[in-house]
Amino acid sequence: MPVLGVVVTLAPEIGTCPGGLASFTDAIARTPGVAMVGEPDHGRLPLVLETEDREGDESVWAALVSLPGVLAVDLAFADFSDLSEPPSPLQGLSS
Amino acid sequence: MNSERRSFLKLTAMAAATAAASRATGAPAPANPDLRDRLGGGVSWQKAPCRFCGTGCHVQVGVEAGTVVAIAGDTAAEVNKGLLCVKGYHVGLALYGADRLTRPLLRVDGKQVPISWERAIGIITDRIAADPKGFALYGSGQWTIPEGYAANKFMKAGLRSNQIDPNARLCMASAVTGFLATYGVDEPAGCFDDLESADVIILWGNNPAEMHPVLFSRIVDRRSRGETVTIIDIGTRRTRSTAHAQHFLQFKPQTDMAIANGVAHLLLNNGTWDKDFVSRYCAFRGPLEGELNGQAITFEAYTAALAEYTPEYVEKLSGVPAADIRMLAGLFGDRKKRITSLWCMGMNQHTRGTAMNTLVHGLHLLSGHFGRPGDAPTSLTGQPSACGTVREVGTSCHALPGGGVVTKEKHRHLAEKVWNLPEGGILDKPGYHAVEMWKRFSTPKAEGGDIHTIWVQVTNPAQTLPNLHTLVDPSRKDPDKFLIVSDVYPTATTRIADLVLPSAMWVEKNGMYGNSERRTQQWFKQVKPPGEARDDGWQLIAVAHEVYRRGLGMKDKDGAFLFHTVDAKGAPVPIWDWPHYYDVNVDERLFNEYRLFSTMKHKNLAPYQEYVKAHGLRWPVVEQPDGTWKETRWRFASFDDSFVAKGKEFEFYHSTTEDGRAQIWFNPYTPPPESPDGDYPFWLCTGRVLEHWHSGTLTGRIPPLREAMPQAYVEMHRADARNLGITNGETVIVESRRGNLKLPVWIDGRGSPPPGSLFIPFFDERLLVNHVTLHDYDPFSKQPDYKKCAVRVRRATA
Repeated sequence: MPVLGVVVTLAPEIGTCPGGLASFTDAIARTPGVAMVGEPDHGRLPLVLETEDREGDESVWAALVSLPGVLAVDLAFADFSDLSEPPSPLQGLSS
Repeated sequence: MNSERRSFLKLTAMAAATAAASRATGAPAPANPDLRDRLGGGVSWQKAPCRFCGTGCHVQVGVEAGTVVAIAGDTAAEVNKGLLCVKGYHVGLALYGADRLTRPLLRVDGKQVPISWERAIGIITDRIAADPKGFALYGSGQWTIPEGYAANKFMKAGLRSNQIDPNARLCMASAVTGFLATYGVDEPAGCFDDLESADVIILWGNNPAEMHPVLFSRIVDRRSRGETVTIIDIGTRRTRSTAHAQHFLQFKPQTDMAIANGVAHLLLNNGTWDKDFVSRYCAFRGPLEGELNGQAITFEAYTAALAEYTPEYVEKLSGVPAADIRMLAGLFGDRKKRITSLWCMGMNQHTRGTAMNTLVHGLHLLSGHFGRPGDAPTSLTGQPSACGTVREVGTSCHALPGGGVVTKEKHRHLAEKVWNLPEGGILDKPGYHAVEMWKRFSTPKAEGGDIHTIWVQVTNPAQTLPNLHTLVDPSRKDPDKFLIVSDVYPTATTRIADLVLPSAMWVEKNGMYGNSERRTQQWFKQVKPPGEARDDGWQLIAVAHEVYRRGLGMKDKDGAFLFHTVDAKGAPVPIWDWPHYYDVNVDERLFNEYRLFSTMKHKNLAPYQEYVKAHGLRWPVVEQPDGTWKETRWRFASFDDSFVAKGKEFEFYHSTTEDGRAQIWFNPYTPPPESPDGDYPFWLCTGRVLEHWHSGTLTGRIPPLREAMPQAYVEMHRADARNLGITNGETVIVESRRGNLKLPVWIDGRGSPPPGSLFIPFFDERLLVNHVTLHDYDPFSKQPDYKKCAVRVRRATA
């Protein structure tokens, strides 16, 4: 169950357009698994992503990237202490 | 996971993200969040550079009960300021794929069966004993610096052989020859700090949004702060980087040379070149067949050579509108702007890679956009230590540590002195470069194939070499040829190997890397490797000792073992014996020996312990009167480089003309060795994707990355697909004169090639695009061209 700390870089117009930031934060609030943990600082917004599995992590990530006004999403922290060994991607090919 | 622990984790994630957000906005660096407290007492944290690309981001590695359990961006690291890309965040998972190699394996009757380390070492030594000259080592920009140094010494001093070359030959060799031909010494003069000062970033065939995401974030972040940064993407296909660019200049493959010449032509014609900078610090150079340093030419000859490269002529050659060539020239002609050029594989994997590199350097020199923060021509590297281990340690067949070359007597004498060898102990003839090495390995002995054994470490040539049907496959049918591979997972190369050695990786061992901005980084071993996996450095030293024990070499002129090591009290330590390998810090001893070479070309390194304290230091690192060590961000500029003579603003102190001048080159555009024709009507370009790192050996074991990008594909333009009756996702056969590949089509996918062009990523070992590529290479760097060859496409069902 991954827990991620991420930083979203916002397009400048999000901050300058009337209602732009509020609209954006509403969109964030509607994204399952995402929690706002601070205010945007010079267009950088810290978030925590908490999902049930790695597939969820990937879909939340994709949802964030696709939000209008998001220039980039970067990682700051990740935990995978409940790691279970993933299967080999190349099973059947090994000697 | 209990709720209390999960709360801890969320708090930690929150603290790290908040710290990273404030750091990235230029706020003073906060300390790393107190991760230890937040995660509880069981987790210990240490720094390490990321295992993947040449950016050199630092991570904090969280270890609990002998397992890496968490990764955080390191807020104290200047490179990434607490941020990581999607690969960096998953780097800890790269250790824990289910199919790690844990025992040596020997091929017996077609099957790989477990054997002991002792037997494996004996077999390697037998191969050396049979014919030392035919034994070769093929290494990597993923070797740590001490490992690469040990490998270099193993071959060049221990076996008195120069048959060692790295996979970096395939990725940045042309950048090296470009720097050498221009400045007389390798590696960028600028650094990543330029990304914060540049007004204009020019991407020459480069896609940092996917290949160097954290660096690209540093640029994009400036825009989020309201700064104006103009990005110009000069490429052969649209990529994720293009989406952020104000200008996209789409050129026909190989014609980047014409574009560079067109800009130089306009700078001269418009009188906007920097006459003062050029007259004081530059000279002119033109090509001379077979000579890396070419020949001196006059300014008049340079001007005359460029005369034909009018914007209209360049448009005709390249397809880039003349107006865009004028736009570029206008930017270079404006000294108020700061311009940083970035490039990587697009310019390097090029049969005229050296020439193209010199042309971009030449634009910066001619226009005076050099040596001020933000004004720099900067090459990027794809591997974490292509610079540190290959370019600085000199693990190529012609090189010696510290920027030396085997063909120079002075450089050989230094190596003989440091390694305590007799005079003449280093051979003066280069060994075989990578393509030649593998070609000879795949050629029968009776036909000149004089390489009988290759030991591969930390790389996957059966996937990444070009034209595999010629360079690799024949060797597997020749009983005289023997392939040894040290790696962490089964790969395309281990699968065809005769002997496989299980290796430790990343924080399973001590290490040092050197990133793309001359930054040397250090880390300590934090977890144990699985099973019988052992350090690549130990493997080399263990074989070296067996060679020494049998009296076959590996000794200095006094008869001592070349890797003789003593502890703090002067007592010998048998580091070739695995239980004793960590009795001393072998890395520290090797590095402190290696740094003796570093002053020769002003690549000065500090003592090992200085790197323990730092998040990397950029060489030259110079000791100050108070005993501290100062790194250098901008070389050749007096405001920052201690080696520039007093009273001079700039000095190129390794100038090839020995007069302190850099060389502005003219190199003509010439067509590529293979172009589309009636039989093979498409261009094929190969490359990388965000989710996977190079051949996918590590990222293929990380489920989120694998699932995000599960297999290779061929990008095709919608119009071409329509003409051929191909639908999105349909399986097609892509075929060149060398081989073919069956894979699905992605129309209007992540990247968008223009009509007549295709793109295939090389990460997928089930779909080896290098059965299709050609192995023509640059005449100076010997780097193959993976970016252009001619292919045809047909529906698999047709």
